[in-house]
This record gives sequence, C-alpha cells and structure tokens, in this order.
Amino acid sequence: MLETKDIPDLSQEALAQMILTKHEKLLQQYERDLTYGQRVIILAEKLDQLEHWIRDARLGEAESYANKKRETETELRLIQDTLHTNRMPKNLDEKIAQQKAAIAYWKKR
Amino acid sequence: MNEKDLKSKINDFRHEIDAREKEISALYSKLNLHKAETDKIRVARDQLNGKVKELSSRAKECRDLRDKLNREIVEHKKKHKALITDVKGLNEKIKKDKQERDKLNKTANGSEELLDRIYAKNMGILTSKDIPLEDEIRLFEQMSELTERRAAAKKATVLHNDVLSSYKQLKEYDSRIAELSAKIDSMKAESDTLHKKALEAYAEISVFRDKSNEQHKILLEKYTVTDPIRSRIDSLKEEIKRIQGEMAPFLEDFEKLSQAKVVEKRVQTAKEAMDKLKHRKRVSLDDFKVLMENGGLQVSDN
Repeated sequence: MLETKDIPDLSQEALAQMILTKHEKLLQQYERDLTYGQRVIILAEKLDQLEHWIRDARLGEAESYANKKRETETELRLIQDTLHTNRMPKNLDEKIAQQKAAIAYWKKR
Repeated sequence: MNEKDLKSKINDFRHEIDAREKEISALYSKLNLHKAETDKIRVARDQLNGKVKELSSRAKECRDLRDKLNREIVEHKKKHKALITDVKGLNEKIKKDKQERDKLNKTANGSEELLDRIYAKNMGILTSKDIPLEDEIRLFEQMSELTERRAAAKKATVLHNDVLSSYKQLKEYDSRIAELSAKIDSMKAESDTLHKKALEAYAEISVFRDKSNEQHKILLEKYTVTDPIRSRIDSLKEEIKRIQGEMAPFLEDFEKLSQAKVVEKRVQTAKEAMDKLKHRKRVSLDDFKVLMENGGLQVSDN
C-alpha cells in the first residue's frame, strides 16, 4: 500500500485507467485459476482411470500406464502448488463476471 | 635791521614759542592723567568684547552641532517612518495570509498528513484490491474530493509557513525600530543639551555685551574731556609752526650778519698775522691757519 505523502495527485482519467488495468489483471488471474481448476479435475479423473488400467493391464502394458501416471501426478502437483500459492477463490465464475462488469464500467468512464 | 633789533625780534618770537610749549607740556600732563584712566577702561571694554567673542564662538559651535544632530534626527525619523510603514504592510499581509489559510484549512478539513494518508490508502485499495464495483465508484469519487482537499491543505501549509516567516520578520523590524527610537531619543537629548548650552552662552553674551557697552560709553565720555585738550595741543603746535615761519626770515638775516662779522674778523686776523710776518714776529697757530684759509701766504710769495 502506498503511504508516502509524496503520492502525486492523479487525474480522474489516469486513476480510472489504473483501476481498469487492475481489473484486467484480476480477470486474467481468475480465468487462469479457472483453467487450472478444470485441469485439476481432469487430471484427477485421469489418475483414477490410469490406476484402474494399471490394475487390469496385461503383461507389458502396465509399465506404460505407470509412466503416464507419474507424468500426470507431476503435472497435478505443479498445478496444485500454483493454486496453493494463488489461493484460488471458490466462486471464480462470479469473480470473473464481476471483473468483466467492472472493466465495462471503467472503460465507459 | 641792525643786529640788536634782530636779536630783540627773535627773542620776542622765542618767548611766544616757549609760552606755547609750556602750555603744551601742561596739557600733556593733564592728558596723561586721563590716559591712565581711559587705558584702564579700554582694557576692560576690550576684555569684555573678547569674552563676548569667545562665548559667541562657543554658542556657534553648540548651534552648529545641534543643527547637525537635528538633520541626522530628521533622517533617522524618515527611516523610522519607513520601517513603521513596512511593519503595517507586513501586518496586513499576515492578516490576509491568515484569513486565506483559515479558509483553506476549512476546505481541507484535515491536516496535510492525514489527507495524504487517506489518499494513499484509497489509492492502494483502488489500484490493488478486489472490491465491489459500488465501493470502488464511491472511493473513486472520494479521491477527486481528496485531491481538492490535499491541494487546499498544501496551500494552507505554505501560507502558514509564510505567516511564521512574516512574524520572524516582524520581530526583526520591532528590534530595529526600538533600536532606532532609542538612538533618536538619545540624539534629541543631546540636541536639547546643546540648545540649552547655546542659550546659556547667549544669555552670558548679553550680559557681557551690556557691560562692554557701558565701558564704551564711559570711554566716550572720557573722550569728550580729552578731545578739547588734544585739539588745543594741535592748535598750539600749529601756532608754533606759524611763529617759527614768521621768525625764519629774521633768523636768516641774523645769520647773515653773524657770518659777515666772522669774515670781517677773519680778514682782520689775517691782516694782523700778515703784519706780524712782515715784521718777522711770531704768529700763533690759529693766526697761521686763518692766514692760510684767506690765501694770505700766497700774497706774501708774490
């Protein structure tokens, strides 16, 4: 947070532009979070499927499924780490809608 | 006129001259008696005049010095007046600045520091926090108002500093005015003292001048006594000159007679000496001298 007394007086246009930039960044962030969230669901399902396939695999195929499972686990871990860092909000759709509305407002302003 | 008559005439003239010279001598004795007194009066008068001159010089010195001081006082008063005018101007400025500052403070409704803090906080929220749009719009409107209030607070601070600086200047002016006033008062006192001294000197001059005039008057009275004596002396001297003039031709005639007598006697002496020489008698040195002067010896050689 800015605290110094030397903060310059901004014009309304400049301030509105800064707010707009903030909402655009937030929108990007929420949309990416949403993409990651969807990918987590897909990867979790994929792992479940791969575990099933590994159990029922014929000789010689299990190794290939195990490799894919490791790859999937690695990707999932990476995404989960990222999501953990960003503390992904629960109601992302709503948040994205709010950012879009705000962007529309500040663009007109 | 024969020698006897001439002598008698000349003696008459000499008696007349002697009589006048005696009178002159008696008149000088009289004058000398008055002179001692008039000299005393004159010395007293001159001494009094000397005192008047000395006091006049002192009075002039005092007056000149007083006038010089008065001129300096006038200059200092001008400076004093200019300073008072400056102070009035500064007071007006302070009053105006304070009024303007108070008006601005009313508009700012908060200190510059507080408003800066609120502005920074709002700015932080608006540019980095995800808040509802309604709140954002409200904060955005507040920012516009805060900008005006911050500007007012900044101006108020500038004016406040101006007022403080003016008060500092005012203090310096007060000090200079007090210093100048003290100087003027001191010079006035000095000028008054000199004025009084000059007046005292003039009063003394008046007394001495009166005394001098009195002495002069006495002196003039003395002159009324001595002047006729002097006139009489002058007149007697003129008479003596006149008598001497009248006596001169008689003296001349008498001189001529005396000379002729001497020559006649010398010729006689020479003749007698010559006779003595002819008869081979002794001749005195004086006879011989007379004989030489009359050319008797040359006659004998021939």
